[in-house]
Amino acid sequence: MNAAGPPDPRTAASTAVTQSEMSLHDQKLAEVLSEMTDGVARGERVDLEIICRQHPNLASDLRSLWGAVLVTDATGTAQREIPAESGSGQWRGLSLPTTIDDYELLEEIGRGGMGVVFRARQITLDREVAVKMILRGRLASEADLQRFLAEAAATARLEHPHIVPIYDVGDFDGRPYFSMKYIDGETLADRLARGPLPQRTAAKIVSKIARGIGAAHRHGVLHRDIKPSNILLAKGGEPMITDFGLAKQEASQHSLTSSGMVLGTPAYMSPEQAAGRRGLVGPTSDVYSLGCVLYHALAGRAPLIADSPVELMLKVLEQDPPPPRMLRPNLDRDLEMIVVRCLQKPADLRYASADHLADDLEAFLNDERISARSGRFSQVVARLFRETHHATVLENWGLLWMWHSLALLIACLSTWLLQQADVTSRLTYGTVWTVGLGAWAMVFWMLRRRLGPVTFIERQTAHVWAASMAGVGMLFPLEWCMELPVLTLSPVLGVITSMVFLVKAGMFSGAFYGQFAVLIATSIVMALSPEYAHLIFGVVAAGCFFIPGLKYYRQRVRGELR
Amino acid sequence: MAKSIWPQSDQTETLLAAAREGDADAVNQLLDRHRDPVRRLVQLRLDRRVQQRVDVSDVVQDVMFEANGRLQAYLDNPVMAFHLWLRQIAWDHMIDAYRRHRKSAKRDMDREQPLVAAGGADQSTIELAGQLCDPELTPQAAAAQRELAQHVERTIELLDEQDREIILMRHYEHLTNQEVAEALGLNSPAASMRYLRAIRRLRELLQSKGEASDS
Repeated sequence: MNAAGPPDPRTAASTAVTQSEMSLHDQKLAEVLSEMTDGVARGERVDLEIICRQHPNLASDLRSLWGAVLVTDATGTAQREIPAESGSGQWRGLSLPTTIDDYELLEEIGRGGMGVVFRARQITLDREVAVKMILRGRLASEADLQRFLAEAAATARLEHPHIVPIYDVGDFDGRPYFSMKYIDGETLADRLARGPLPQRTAAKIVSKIARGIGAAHRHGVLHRDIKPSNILLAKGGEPMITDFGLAKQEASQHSLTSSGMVLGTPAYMSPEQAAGRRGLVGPTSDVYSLGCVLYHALAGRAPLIADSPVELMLKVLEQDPPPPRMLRPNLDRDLEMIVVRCLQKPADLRYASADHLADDLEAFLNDERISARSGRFSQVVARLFRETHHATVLENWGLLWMWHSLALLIACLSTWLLQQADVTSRLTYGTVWTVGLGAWAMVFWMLRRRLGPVTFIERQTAHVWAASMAGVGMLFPLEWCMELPVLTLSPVLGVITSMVFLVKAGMFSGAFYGQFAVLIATSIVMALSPEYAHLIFGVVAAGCFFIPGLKYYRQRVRGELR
Repeated sequence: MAKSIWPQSDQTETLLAAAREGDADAVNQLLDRHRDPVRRLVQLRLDRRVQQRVDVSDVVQDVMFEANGRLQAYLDNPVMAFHLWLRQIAWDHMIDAYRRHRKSAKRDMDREQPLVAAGGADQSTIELAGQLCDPELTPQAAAAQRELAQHVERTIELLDEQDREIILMRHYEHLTNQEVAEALGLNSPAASMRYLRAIRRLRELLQSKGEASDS
C-alpha cells in the first residue's frame, strides 16, 4: 500500500513524505484535512479560521493547502453538474437541429445560469420560439423541480406587452424546459456594453419594463432577478423583460456556496435579498433592481461595484452609491431623484410599487412634476430613526436585556436602601457596582455565548458596555481621591448609560436616541434630587433596557414561529 | 446538499434489506437508483481517448448487468458499502475497456488529450461548467473561472497515477475519506495521508505552473 508513484522531480524535494517517515505532525494534519474535505463533500460550510484556531500548530499548513482543496473541489463539482443523461444525448453534444416534443431546436442562442436557450420552431403551430432548457443540476431536489414548474406556470399566465410571453412549460426526459416568444434583438446588457443611453431613452425603457413588472406584481409574481441581461430589446421594437422568478432560490444561496467559494454578483440585488432576509423580499425589491438598471443605463455602470462579490454584498448592505450626477454631470435632476428614490436601502422609502416608478418616469418624460421630489425632509428624519441592518442581532439579546434591566434595578434599589440606612462606606457601594454588576456581566456574556457564535457587531457592543462599567466603577475611587462624600458623582451614571445608548443608536437603531435623551434628562434630575437619585435612575435605566428587550424578544419568538 | 455522486444511503439500506427478503422490485429500484451515478463515474473516470471509441452507455449496461448477476453473492456477504461494491465492478469494466482499446488509444497519444478536452464538445463542457457555477458571472469572470478550471484539470493530469486517483475520488466523486479507504483497501489514516500528499503535490504544481505562466 506504500506503492507511491515515481516522485515528480519538480516537487519531490518539498513533499518527500513517504508513509515510513511520516511525522506525527503530518498524521494529524492529514486527519484534520481529510475531515475538512469530508465536510466539503457533505456540502457543509467549512470554516478554515475556526479550524485553524482549534489546531494552531497546523494553521499555516492548512492555510496553504485549503485554497487548492476548494479550487479542485469547485472544478470537480462543476464537472459533476453536467447532467448525466440516459442515452448518448448529452445535450452539450446535442447535434442540431433536433426535435424535442413539439419543438425543433435550431441553434443555441444563449446560456444563462439555469440552462441553455435555443432558437426553435414549434412544429404544430409552425412558429419561431425560444426554448429554454433547465439544467437538472440547478434544481437540487424534486421539490425544487415542482416549484420551478409551478412558478413557470404562474409566469405563463402573465400577459403584458413588456413581458416576454411563455407559451408552454414541459418536461423532457426529466429535464424541465419552457418555450417562449422568440425575440430577435439584443439584451440591454449588450446595448450598455457599448456605453450609457441617452437620458430619455433610458427613462422610456425602464418605465416600460416597470409597467410590465407592475402587472406581474398585481398577479402576485415577483421577478427577483431584474438585470440588464434579462431585458430584451427587440429590433426596432419594445423592451421586454424575461426570466421571471426563476431565481427563486436566490438570497442566501447567492452569497456563499457550501464550499465557501463566493459565487454570483449581487450588483442589481436589493439589500434585503443580499442579506438573505427572504421574509422582506417583495415588490419593492424589484423596484430597487429597476433603479439599479436605470442607474446603469444612465451612468454606464452598476450603482455599486467591488472587486469581489463579498465586498459587493457588504456595499449593497451598507453603502449608498455615488450620486448618478457624479458620473454623468449633465443628468437631469428629476431623473436623478427618481433613481435615488429607487435605491433607498429601507424598502419603505422606495416607490411603493413598480407602477409608481413608471408613473414618475412618465411624468419626467412629459416634463411634469415628479413625486420623488416631495417628502425629502421627512425621509431624512425617517431614515435617522430607523433600524440598521444590524438590528436583527438584537433578537439574540432581547431576553437578556430584560434580565439586565432587572439586575440594574436590583443594584440601584440596594444602593438606595443602603443610602436610606445612612451607610457611608465607599467599599460597600463600590462592591455593589463593580463586583455585583461585574458578576452579572460575566453571567450575561456566558448566557449570550451559549446562544451561538458571537458576531463582530456584538463584540463591539460588549466593548461599549465594558467601557461603561469601567466608567461606573471609576466613580468611587474618584470620589475618594477628590474627598467627595460617597455617591456625589451618581448623576454621571445617567451620562455614562446615555452614551452607551447613543453608540447603540448608531449601530442598531435610531430608536435608541430616545433612550439617550431620556437618560441625559435623568442625570439632571438625579443631580437635583440626590436622595432619590438611584431610585429614579434604576427605574429609568431598567425601562430603557426592558422596552427594547421585550420588543426584540417578541420579534425573535415571532421569527421562530414563522 | 451532499455532493457525493452516489445517492444517500438510508434508502439504499432499506432497499438492500428488501432485496435480501427476495423483493424483486427492490432489486430493480436499487439498480435503477445507481444507474446514473455509475454513468457519471464512467464519464468522469474512463480514459477520454477510450471514451471516443466505446459508448459509455454500453459500459454502464455491462456494469449493471454484472451487478445484477452478482447481487445475491453480495447480499449474502456484503464486504463493503453497496455503492463502493458497485464502483469496484464499474472500475473493473473500465480497466477492461481500457485494455481492449489501449492499442488504438495509444495511437492518439501523440495528440495527447487532457482530462477535459476531447475536441469541441468537451470544450463546451468546461464553458458550461463555468457558467453553471455562477448564474451572474460577467463574461470576463466566466472566462477567468473557465481558465482556472482548465488549469486545475491540466494540473491534475500531471500528478502521478496514485495522487490523481485520490484527488478524483475525493473531489470529483466526492467520496469521504472512509469510503476512499474502503475502496482502496487502506485504513483511514493511510488514506488521509495519501490524500494529504496528493493535495500537497497538486498545490505545488498549481503554484509552479501559475508562476510559469505569469512570467
